[in-house]
Amino acid sequence: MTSVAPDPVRATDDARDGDLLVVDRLAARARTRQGETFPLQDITFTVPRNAIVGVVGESGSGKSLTTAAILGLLPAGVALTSGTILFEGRDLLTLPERQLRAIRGAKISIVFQNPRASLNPVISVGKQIAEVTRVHTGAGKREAWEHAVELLDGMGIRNARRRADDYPHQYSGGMAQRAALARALACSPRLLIADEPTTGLDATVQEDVLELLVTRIRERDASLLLISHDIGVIAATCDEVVVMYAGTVLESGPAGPILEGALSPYTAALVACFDVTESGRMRAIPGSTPVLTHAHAGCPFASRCEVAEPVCADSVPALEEKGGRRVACHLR
Amino acid sequence: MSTSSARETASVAAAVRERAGRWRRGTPTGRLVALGVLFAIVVLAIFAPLIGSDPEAVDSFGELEAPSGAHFFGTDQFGLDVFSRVIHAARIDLTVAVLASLLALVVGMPLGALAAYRRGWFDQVTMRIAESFQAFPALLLAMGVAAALGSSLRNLVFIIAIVNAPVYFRLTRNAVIPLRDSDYVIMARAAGRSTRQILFGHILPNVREVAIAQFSVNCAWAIQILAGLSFIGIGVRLPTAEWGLMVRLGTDYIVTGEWWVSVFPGLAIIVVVLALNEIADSFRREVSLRP
Amino acid sequence: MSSPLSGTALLEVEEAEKTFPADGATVRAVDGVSLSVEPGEIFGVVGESGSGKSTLARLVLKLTPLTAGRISFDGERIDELPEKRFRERRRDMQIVLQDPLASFDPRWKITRSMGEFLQLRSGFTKATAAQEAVAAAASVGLDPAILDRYPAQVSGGQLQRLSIARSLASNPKLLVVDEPTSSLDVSIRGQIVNLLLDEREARQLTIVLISHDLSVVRAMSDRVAVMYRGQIVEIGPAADVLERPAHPYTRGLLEATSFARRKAATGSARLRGELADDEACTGCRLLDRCPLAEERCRETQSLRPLTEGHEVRCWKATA
Repeated sequence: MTSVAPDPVRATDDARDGDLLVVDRLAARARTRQGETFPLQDITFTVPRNAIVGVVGESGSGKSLTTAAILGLLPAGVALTSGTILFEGRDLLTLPERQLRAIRGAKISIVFQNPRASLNPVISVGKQIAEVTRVHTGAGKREAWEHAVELLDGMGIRNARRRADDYPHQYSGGMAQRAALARALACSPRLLIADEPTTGLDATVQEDVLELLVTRIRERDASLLLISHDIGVIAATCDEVVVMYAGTVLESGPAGPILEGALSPYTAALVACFDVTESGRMRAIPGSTPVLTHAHAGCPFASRCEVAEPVCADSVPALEEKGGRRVACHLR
Repeated sequence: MSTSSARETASVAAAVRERAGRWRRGTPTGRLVALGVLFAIVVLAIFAPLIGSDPEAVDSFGELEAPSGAHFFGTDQFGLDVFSRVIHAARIDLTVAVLASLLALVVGMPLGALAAYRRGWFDQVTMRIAESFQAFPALLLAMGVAAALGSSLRNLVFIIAIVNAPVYFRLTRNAVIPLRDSDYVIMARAAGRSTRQILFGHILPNVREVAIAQFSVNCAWAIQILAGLSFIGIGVRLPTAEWGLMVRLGTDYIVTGEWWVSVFPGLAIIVVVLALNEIADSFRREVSLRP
Repeated sequence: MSSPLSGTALLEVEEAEKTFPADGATVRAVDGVSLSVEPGEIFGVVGESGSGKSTLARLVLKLTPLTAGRISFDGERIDELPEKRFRERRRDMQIVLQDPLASFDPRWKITRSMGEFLQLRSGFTKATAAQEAVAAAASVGLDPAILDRYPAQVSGGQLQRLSIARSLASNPKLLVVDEPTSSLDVSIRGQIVNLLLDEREARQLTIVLISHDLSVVRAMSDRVAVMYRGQIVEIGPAADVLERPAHPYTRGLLEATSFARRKAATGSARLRGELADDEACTGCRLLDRCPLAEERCRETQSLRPLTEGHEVRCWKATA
């Protein structure tokens, strides 16, 4: 009887059945002129396949640094001290630069808050998008151009065919962001990371852009990692949400249950700040975000938490499965 | 000395050392080296009469002698000791450069800041004036003014200042334009502060690094202009020692092999100009790295 | 008329216009805006980018000259007053800007920046400056130790509170706040809003609030004006304008920005496209985006009364 060697293709498929992106216990240290800070202390979350995951965090939460880490684009002076980032089962942190480059821009693409940062000002918009298509699919010039026009139209740019010839400076802010998103989709990425993509755009435009983005992502069976400080944006678009505070994750899981019935006091307080309908005094969280000059001794939110107990300041709560989600809180 | 005052002195010394240490750590290496070089040259210039022989003493038997123990840089065609002349010339070159640049700064900077802040006709008029000065090649302009006013050392300072002032003017104007619309200037206006108070309190202090960088570059440029003027015969005259003049006097002899007459003063110019440029660049880099 | 010349108004703006030359054409940043603000009220001005609301704030404080129109403060025409004579009035009207970090000179210690405004007070002496700065910091709930720091060493929320304390140092009658919470985390904006509400109570302060953040406007305002492309499209009591918006732009804006509404959004008020950079047209400025647009909308639209105190610039709007 002959034994059957394991099928190499099937083996890789098995590895790919898991989550698309797994970030596990990521920590980072930054060296600045004033000294050392620890902007990331324990970031853990996953992005499943075909999912839209929102990362909610305020200033100092570490959300932008996390996306930089995923792409291997940390700024000077910042280094990861521990943790892993698995993309399709492979640890991005141990990959050589060459393989990382193959993933960056092809399987993972990113869009920033400022569309001018994503678009080359001296090349026409259509050409930039077509270039991405050509590089990643080997399509011909004509085909790539058609694809570019289609993508622009798909992101809501009127007169896409004519507009494709224009340069980024001829686009308004909202249009430029639509173009940047179109370009990020051109390579048919598995994961699109959008860091505050609609912040700074007029409210009436934000809704439209987000809706189109979600539609295009679902069409492609891709996943979207959406970073935002705006819970309204997250509520309207995301399947899952990750709540970050001071370099750690305090709650993560399905968006609906978390936003309507948060277990973490921070999430609850944050949602309450957004849900404003009356006139008169507004809800706020007293104090300000901690300066991260050392590792957390206890729960980072303890000093501002309404229901804090002594145990909260004494030990760091672990991120555990509770109530259909993961939450880091001693009292829940 | 009693023990308490000894301890006081020791603690003061420690404080000074600590301060100096911090300054040294905070200052980039390039700038330190450049400052060191300049400092050495300045010291040589100050003590020139003690270090070197009389720069105008002719040694009739020692014309065109190669560098030796007696004459470190050799002698020129008149028998004058090149080393002594090089360090004496430093006094003139450095003094004229610094004075001229200072004068240009004092005139150009406030005008530039005011032009940028006030805008309107004042800005247009001063800009046109500055541009017309800058339309002339510096050396030609200097020649013209020298021909008109005469080329005494005092006049040379004025000439070089005139040539440099438009540069300060435009530099300061360009640095102030982004500042004048900044929120804290708007707030100062809302507080009823006058133009003078805003210029001196908020705007000029923020162009400090840019001004220092420019000052350094201007000194370098001033030396080159002075050397250039002397080279073509308009600047300093014999027997005064000046680097540009010395280079010119030695040009005929390079071909015949007596390289030291031109090369040493030329090197002096290069070293000082490089040092000044490095200082300027280090400040510019510092500014551009700021968020 | 939208600005009855009631003798009691603290601030009156009549047909204010501000145009800028830009790339050959002229931009009408503020195009015929009229409003009046009563003492002690909080008047909200809502709009997105290009609405002209920030330009309006600067016009009111004479930080930029009017192209046409009239502005009166406390019964006196100020638009034609030369700066030298106006300087004394500056103690009565102040402004707080959006980005607190930019509002302070980065090279000045906080205490020096406070002093710049304290000296506006009548009876100010240098000797008491330090104490008064401490009192100002304490009045917004901050430890006086913060005064000795540089702006970059202070958090955004704290710096904005200092900015408010600083602008209130001369005890002004009118405070214009331009996007006071937009640079700050959402969890802190309540701190600023509550502080402004408290100050209004304590000092009988009149506030003009410029913001694109409808939650903040709703929380604070007594009356609201909605601006779009240089014009006021709707004006009236806050409850009316924000709960029962009449103008299509206001409706679209409210639907797009309300967290609660987003979850239950119907999309019926959705505005198409985005702000075009076209020159001013004579008709309704919202023509190319309005879901209700018709031929008649090409005619010049003016503000017409809807109910008591509530006016709207749309012939189709009903109460």
